[in-house]
Amino acid sequence: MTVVNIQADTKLHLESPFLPAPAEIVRKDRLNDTETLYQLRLADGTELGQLPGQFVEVSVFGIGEAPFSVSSSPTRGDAFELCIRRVGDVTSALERLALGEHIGIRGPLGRGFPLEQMRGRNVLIIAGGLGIVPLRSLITNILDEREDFSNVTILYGCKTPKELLFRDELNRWQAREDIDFRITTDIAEPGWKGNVGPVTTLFRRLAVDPRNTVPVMVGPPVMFKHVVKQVLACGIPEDRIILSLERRMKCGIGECGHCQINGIYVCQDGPVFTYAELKRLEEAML
Amino acid sequence: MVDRVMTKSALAESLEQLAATLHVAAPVEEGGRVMFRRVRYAAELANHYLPTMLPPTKYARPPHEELLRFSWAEGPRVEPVFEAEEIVIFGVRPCDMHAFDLLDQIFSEENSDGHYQARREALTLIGMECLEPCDEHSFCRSMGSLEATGGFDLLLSEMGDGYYVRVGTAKGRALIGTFQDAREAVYEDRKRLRKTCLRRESQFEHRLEDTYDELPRVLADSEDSLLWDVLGEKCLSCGACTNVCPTCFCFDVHDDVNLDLKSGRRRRHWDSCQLEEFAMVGTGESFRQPRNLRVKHRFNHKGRYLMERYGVPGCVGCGRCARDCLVGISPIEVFNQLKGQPVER
Repeated sequence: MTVVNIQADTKLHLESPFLPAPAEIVRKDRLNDTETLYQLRLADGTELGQLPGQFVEVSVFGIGEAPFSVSSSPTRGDAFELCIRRVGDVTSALERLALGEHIGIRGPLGRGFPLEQMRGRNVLIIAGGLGIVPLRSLITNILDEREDFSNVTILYGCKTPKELLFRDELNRWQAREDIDFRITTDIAEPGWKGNVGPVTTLFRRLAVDPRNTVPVMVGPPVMFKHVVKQVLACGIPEDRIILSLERRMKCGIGECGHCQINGIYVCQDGPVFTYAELKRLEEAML
Repeated sequence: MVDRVMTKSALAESLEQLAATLHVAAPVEEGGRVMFRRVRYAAELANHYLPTMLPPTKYARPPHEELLRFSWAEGPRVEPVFEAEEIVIFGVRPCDMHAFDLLDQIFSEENSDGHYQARREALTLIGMECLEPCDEHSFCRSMGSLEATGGFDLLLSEMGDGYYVRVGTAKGRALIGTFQDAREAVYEDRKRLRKTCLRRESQFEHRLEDTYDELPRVLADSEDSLLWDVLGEKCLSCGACTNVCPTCFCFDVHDDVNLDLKSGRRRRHWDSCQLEEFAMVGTGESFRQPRNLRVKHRFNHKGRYLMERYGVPGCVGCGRCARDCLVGISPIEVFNQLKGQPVER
C-alpha cells in the first residue's frame, strides 16, 4: 500500500481541528478530596480569549482528551483556570502531572453566556454542585465589571458543606455589600450554620423583578427541573432563562455525535442555551 | 464537458491498465457478500450486485484513522497526520454518491477536517447508474437518491454492450482522456440514454408512503409513538446498522502509546449511537441509556435531524441497515408505520 503523507504534495491547505496547543501547568491547588484547580498558560504566550461559559478540550498525551469548562474570567490576564474533578483516566493523569509540565488545549469552544445581553440588567445566578465551576468565570467577570450590571444575586447549593468549592472566594463574595450571595447544602454537617435544603429554598425570601432579571443556572439535571419552574413562576420569559448543559463533548466541533441532544450539538450550539431553545427537546431532560 | 461512449471490453482494458499502476477498488464477490476491494483484473468484478457490505465512503472515512502523532521525550511535540492514498473507486452506486455528498458537507464545508479532506481529495469516483432495483430493502427512489446528481468524477450508464459515460469533474475528464476507444457521444447515444432512464423510472417503486421531505414532520409527530418501545425491545444494540451505513459518521477518539512509552498517536474509530456508553459523561451519567431512545435517535438522525441541519436527507435508502439487522428492523417499515399504520406489541 502506498500511503503518502499528503501535506507535501498537495495544493490543499489542510488543517487538523484536532491539533491542540501546548499549555504549561503554572499552579495547582487542591480544593477538595476530588477537585483540583489548575492554572495554565499557553506555551506560545497568547491569551486563551475565552468567554465565560465556554469550554476547552484538555489532552494528556498518551491518555486521551476530555472537555472541561473554563473556570476563570477573561478579565484576569493571560493565565486561565480549570477546576477538575478526578473521575476517570484523563483527570487522574492530570492530577499526577507536576508544575511546569505541559498538557494540550483545544479551544475555547462552544457558545458562552450572553454577557452582553446581561449588562444593565439584574443577574440571578444559580449554581448546583459542580455548576459553580463555569459560573465562577461569569461571576468573576461580572464582579470585575460590577458597574455594568444592576442587582447581582448568587445562589449556590451543594450536597454537603465539604463539597463547597472556592471557599476563599465564597467568603469574599459573602462579605461584599454590592451583591446578594446565598449558600445552601442539602445535608447539614456539625458546625454548619447556613441554610439547609435544595437551592430552590433560597428563593423564599428573594424579590425577583421579572421585567429586568436574567437568570443563569448550571447544575445537575434534577436541579434544572425545579429551578426552571421557580424562575418561570417569577414571571421571567422562557427566552431569557439561561442554562448550560453537560454532555460528552468528545470532538468539540460538531462531528463525533456524542454530545447530541436530539438534532443539536451541545459543543457547537451550546453548552449555553435559553430554556426556550431546549424545552421541546426530549433529550435535554428538562 | 463532452460525454463519451465506450464498449465494455474497452472499459475493461482501460481499467486493467489503470490498475497496473494505481489502487483501483471495485465491487468483488467474496464469501457470498459483495465488497469493495482492490482489483487488478476486470474479471474480478462482481457483475450484478446489491449495495456492498460496507459503503465505499469507508475510503474517505476509514474505521480507524490516525489524527495526531505526539511525543514527550524532549518537551511536548505534537503534529497532525494527513494520510491519503490515491484510489480510483469503480462502480459507486448513486445512493453512495449521495452519501459522499453529505459527508463532504459535514467534514469539508461545515468543518475543515483536513484528515477527511486529504483522503477525499485523493479519491476518484467512477459511478455506475442503477437501471434496475437491487432488492426489497432499498428505497432510494423515495429518498431522492436513485439519480446521481453529482459527486462523481465519471458516471457510467450501461447501454447494451457498452457504457454511456458522463464526465462530472476536471479529474474525470483527465481520467477519461487516458481511456482508449472512448468516443464522443452523439445525438443518437443521448437519445438512447434518455430512453434507458425513462424505462428505469417505472421499475423503481416509491417504497415509502412519504417522500423524504415529509419525514422530518412524520418523525416530529412520532415523539411518543409506541413503535419506539416495540423496536427497543427487539433491537440488540449490536451497532451493525451504524457500521454498514454510508452516512453514519460518529466516532470516538483514543490515544495509543508506543512501546518506547515516550511517544504515541491519537486515532479516531467508528463509534455507534446504538451502544450504551455513547452518551455517557465522565461522572457516569448516560443521557441516552434506554434502548428505545437509542433506536429512536438513529431514525431521527437519519430522517429528521440531518435534514433540519444540512437540508439533505441523512438516509440514502440503500437498505444496508435492514439487510444486516439481526432482528429484521427495516427503515421502510419503521417510516411507514410511523406514518400511521397500527403498531402492535
